[in-house]
Amino acid sequence: MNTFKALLFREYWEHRGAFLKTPIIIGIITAVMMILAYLLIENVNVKLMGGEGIEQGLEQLNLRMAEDIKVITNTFLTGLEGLHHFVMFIVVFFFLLGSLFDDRKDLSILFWKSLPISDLSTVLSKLVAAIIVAPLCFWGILIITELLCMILFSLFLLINGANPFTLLWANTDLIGHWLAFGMGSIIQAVWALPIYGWLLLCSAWAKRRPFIWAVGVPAMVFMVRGWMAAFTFSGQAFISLKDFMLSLSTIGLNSLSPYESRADLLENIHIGAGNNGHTDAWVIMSSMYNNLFSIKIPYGFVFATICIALAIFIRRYRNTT
Amino acid sequence: MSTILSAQNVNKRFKKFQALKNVNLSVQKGKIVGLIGPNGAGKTTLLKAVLGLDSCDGELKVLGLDPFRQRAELMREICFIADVAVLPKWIKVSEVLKFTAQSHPNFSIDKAKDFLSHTKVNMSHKVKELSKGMTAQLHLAIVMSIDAKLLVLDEPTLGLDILFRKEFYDNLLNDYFDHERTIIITTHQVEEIEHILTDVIFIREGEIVLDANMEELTSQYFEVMVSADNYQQALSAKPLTERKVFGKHIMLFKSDSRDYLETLGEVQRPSVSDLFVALMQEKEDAA
Repeated sequence: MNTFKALLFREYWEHRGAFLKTPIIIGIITAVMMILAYLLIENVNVKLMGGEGIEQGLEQLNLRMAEDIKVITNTFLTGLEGLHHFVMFIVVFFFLLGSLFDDRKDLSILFWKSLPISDLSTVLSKLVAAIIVAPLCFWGILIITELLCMILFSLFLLINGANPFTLLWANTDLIGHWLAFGMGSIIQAVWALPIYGWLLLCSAWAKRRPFIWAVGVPAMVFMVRGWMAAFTFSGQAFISLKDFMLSLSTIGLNSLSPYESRADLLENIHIGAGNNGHTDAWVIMSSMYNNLFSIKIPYGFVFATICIALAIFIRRYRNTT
Repeated sequence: MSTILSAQNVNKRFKKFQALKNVNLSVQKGKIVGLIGPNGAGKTTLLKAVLGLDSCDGELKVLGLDPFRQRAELMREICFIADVAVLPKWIKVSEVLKFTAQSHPNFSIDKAKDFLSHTKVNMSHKVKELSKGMTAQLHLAIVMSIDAKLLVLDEPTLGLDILFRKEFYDNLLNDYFDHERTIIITTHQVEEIEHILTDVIFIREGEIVLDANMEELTSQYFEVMVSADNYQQALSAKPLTERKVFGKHIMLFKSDSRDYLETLGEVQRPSVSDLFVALMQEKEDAA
């Protein structure tokens, strides 16, 4: 499978900027914000530490703070990972939208097609880049960012006379969080597969502006169904439309935020991290796993397969825009 | 000799427009074929069908394969340059070579690097940083390092200056072509390639007007510089075309022998472009 490996490298070379630089920028912003936040609240901290710390003694403080630190780091790491999943979906969205369109626009498709590579492998390589290459890039950078944040946090503790090893590192399940992000990326891809397939189809089909197709067609479908429901004065039509939109919204939400994974949009909503122990990496992982058995996923697979098959078919004869 | 390309009753329709009409063709191994025709004659449509980029009706076989159905397989044995601008802009020279090496079984990366070492193209350059001429050199370096049975060039030198164009064809002829390979070229600058062609195919409004080898062609068509004294006599011999240059009449004749024509004036080999114009006119008159 040398050719397929080459195709994946090709995607990496072309989209290095989006796949690597995006998480790097998020990492830098996060680190800068941590330092700024520390500098701004440092005085308060010192006062607290100075007042209570001396009275109770550092040992006692460490014990009391351990549970708090756990909540703080879990919330922080979960939030950071959620942000990465969210941004990654946006990056992959636009990557797929251009993946079978941009080379037709600049005619470089004629070069790619002059090589012995089937349209099947070409289209599949775009999909694999979206569900494996991009997450791997984000994952690698996220690990570095989280380590960096932990080191910064340790420094802040050290400056204030606390022991970061007993207080911070011993209470943080970093490996669990990294596993959760990796699993989250797979869950994200599983839920988002029908969206990815649809984007590939629009990208292969559009003669210009694939975005209009990708967003416009679903919007039209909703409008037409809405009108039909309105004209027939049928309550049932409205209910089925509502159910349909709810299903799509569930897929959309899971694609944007796999950590908030749920089988149904209205099921156990808790906005924001930190509720009911949901920031613990292993709780998140088991909840993501449990929601995998939603009936929406096999439907999504079927839809994705149809879209991708059509994209491959269209790719065979559409060489220009 | 083996047949590289054969077309029988190939047709292509775009909605109301018939782009190819019953094209019958056969190209043998070891030929350099010029595909010549005015804009919109169907050259690119024909080449697209040959390269498997578009479907067509009728029987079309390239190296024994159906191009549209078996494109990936076919591309192991043939390569093409469609236009100078088709290399992706974002890619680095080193990356495009690596990619080709990994995806093409008949590509030699050393050959390509060796070829590029004689140019200003640098491995760390991106394609968008290269000039048009350098991009064409890079593309030619890639194509020439592929051990292909058939090379298809569709306006390969479009937009290049004359030095690059000359170098391009020199390289092609000296470093690449041997009688195991076959080349099909289309270009508007016919004068630049006519000396390297072994065969020409004229195409007009989707129809093949002429399919002949150069020797055959030059043994049938003659250009005569007729002096004023012989003008009437020459006219009665029914020239295909006539033009006046510096007071002399230059006429194009189709004839089985040059003996009689030599009595009318100085006989020359006509250029392919003059022949093309003449044959197009002839068809029009006949129609």
